[in-house]
Amino acid sequence: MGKSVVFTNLTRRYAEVSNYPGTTVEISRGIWQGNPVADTPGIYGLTNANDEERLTEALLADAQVIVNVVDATRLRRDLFLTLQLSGRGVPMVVVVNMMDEVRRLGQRLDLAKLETLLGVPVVAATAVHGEGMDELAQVLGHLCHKKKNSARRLQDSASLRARANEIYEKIAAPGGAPGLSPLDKWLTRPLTGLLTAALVLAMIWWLIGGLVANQVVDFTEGIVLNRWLLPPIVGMLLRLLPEGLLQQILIGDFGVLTMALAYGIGLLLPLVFSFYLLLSLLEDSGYLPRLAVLLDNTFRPLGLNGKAVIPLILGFGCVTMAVISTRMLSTRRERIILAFLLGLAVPCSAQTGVIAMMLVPMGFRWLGLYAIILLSIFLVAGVILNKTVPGQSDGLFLELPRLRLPRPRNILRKSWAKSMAFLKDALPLFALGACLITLLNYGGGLIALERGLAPLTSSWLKLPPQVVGAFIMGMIRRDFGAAGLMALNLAAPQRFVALVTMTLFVPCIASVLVVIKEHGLLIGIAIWLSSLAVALLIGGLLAAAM
Amino acid sequence: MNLLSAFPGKRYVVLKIKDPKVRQQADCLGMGEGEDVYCIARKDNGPVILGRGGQMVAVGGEIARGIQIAPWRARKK
Repeated sequence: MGKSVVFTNLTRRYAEVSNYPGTTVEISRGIWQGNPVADTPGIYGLTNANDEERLTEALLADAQVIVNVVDATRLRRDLFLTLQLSGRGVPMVVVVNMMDEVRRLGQRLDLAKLETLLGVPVVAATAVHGEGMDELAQVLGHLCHKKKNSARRLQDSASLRARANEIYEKIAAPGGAPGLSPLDKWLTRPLTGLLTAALVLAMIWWLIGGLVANQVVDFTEGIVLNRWLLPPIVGMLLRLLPEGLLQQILIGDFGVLTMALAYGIGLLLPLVFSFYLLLSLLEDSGYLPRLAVLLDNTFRPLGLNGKAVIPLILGFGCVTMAVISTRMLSTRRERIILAFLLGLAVPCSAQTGVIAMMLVPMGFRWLGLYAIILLSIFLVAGVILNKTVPGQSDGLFLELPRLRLPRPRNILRKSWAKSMAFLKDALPLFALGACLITLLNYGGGLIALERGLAPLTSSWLKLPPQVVGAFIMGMIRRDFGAAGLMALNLAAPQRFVALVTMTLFVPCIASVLVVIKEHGLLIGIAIWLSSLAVALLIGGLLAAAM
Repeated sequence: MNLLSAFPGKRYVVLKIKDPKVRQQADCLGMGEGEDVYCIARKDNGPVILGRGGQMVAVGGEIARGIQIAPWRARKK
């Protein structure tokens, strides 16, 4: 609709903009001429049906003026909400945005008549180009001094819709039959759609797993942090602090600076920023809803709908980011199912790189077997979760936005804003995790764990006792654990068992912390324990079969 | 007939939407009961892509099964 662009124009504060429903999941706040302004989630009606609508209802209760931004090319749809809002008695201006599209499509809208029919001011706008913003400011200046009227009793939704249609027919010329564009057809037909999806996936893998995870992270983590920034800081703290717990907490093996900061800024920030660049491109182009349509049936037996494909794609780059992006699914049940699947059977880009390095020299047979085992576990786990996680999943009911070329400026601004928000959320959690591990290590707990786990790995997984160290590292990050396996001299079947077990092993600390933040401690523990159990069970069974 | 029986390119009237949550969403989007919509594309078990004006909505198979429609011309008579 362009509401976030209008907000940014008014307040000069960036609010996230996408060509995808449900972009605004958190309220952005700013100031316009001394008056507080809030950017609400994008909604099509006030039916109390979801969190976004409830959040908007709460904001409207205190609103002095409503700036109702509607999409000129979807005006019939947006008149429903407009009528609901106009009945509230709060002074309102209707911003008919995207008028450039209307002109380009050769459509006509009688906005003067719309103003008369609605009884509120109407402003024609193309917010991305600033068109109509001066007029909006003038109208807002008048409305700020207007008093609220008493709210009218709202009609039922069918009557409101009938009234909205009636108004629309009076102001717009009738349109022809809609149809899919050739590109839409290409993207939503099974053969061509899957081909495109595979290409997009390959591009994401190559860019994140290949280019960013190697070249960029090598630079940010290996050079910027570990060569330029951390050595002088660590050197200074070594001189200032006596040997002991505080020194370990700050600059030890699992220290806040040496691990949490290095992970957060050196490793994750470049990955996160590049994910968001790619995701923003996909979001703004309108491609993701087409992919959701294409894969809807595939996800149904897992208790998910087509929208789940988006976090899943991200999971192959970074599971932590993927868990965050499960927010786009509409029910908590779906978010929990997908968080389980991501934690269990989706290796992140760094881990995939290490696994490929170890499996490829063993031959295509082992690589194929690895892929089949992982895919089977993913599907079986999904079906089991669908039958056991309480609640109901929603079917796909998704508006498809127009396909359009993304605007580079928005892509960059959005990716940057999201990356900063990620750091703000994640860094304190990383620091907390680093403190906890250091305390465990300092008390000798880590060595005791290594000894305690040795019998399980040796007798059940038939692996040498030295793998315990790799698995303990895998509890912190699975890619570290997989890298640890490279140093061991394992026979081909042992190597295969170790890699499958490590892939299914517990999600990394960052992922678990994000799961706890999103779904609570219980779910976090459940995902952690079930991943551990499945990894050991499958690893043991494979070891016995080899 | 339900939405899964719709033919791409044909125009239909939405008669009944079983799921109340979907019914409300459809009303907001202008594709609710009593509205006429075009079936733009359909897979056998869904999703069905519906269109009206410049709008397009994808409806998953399970939801589509619960949406009753009739050919638009038949309703006009």
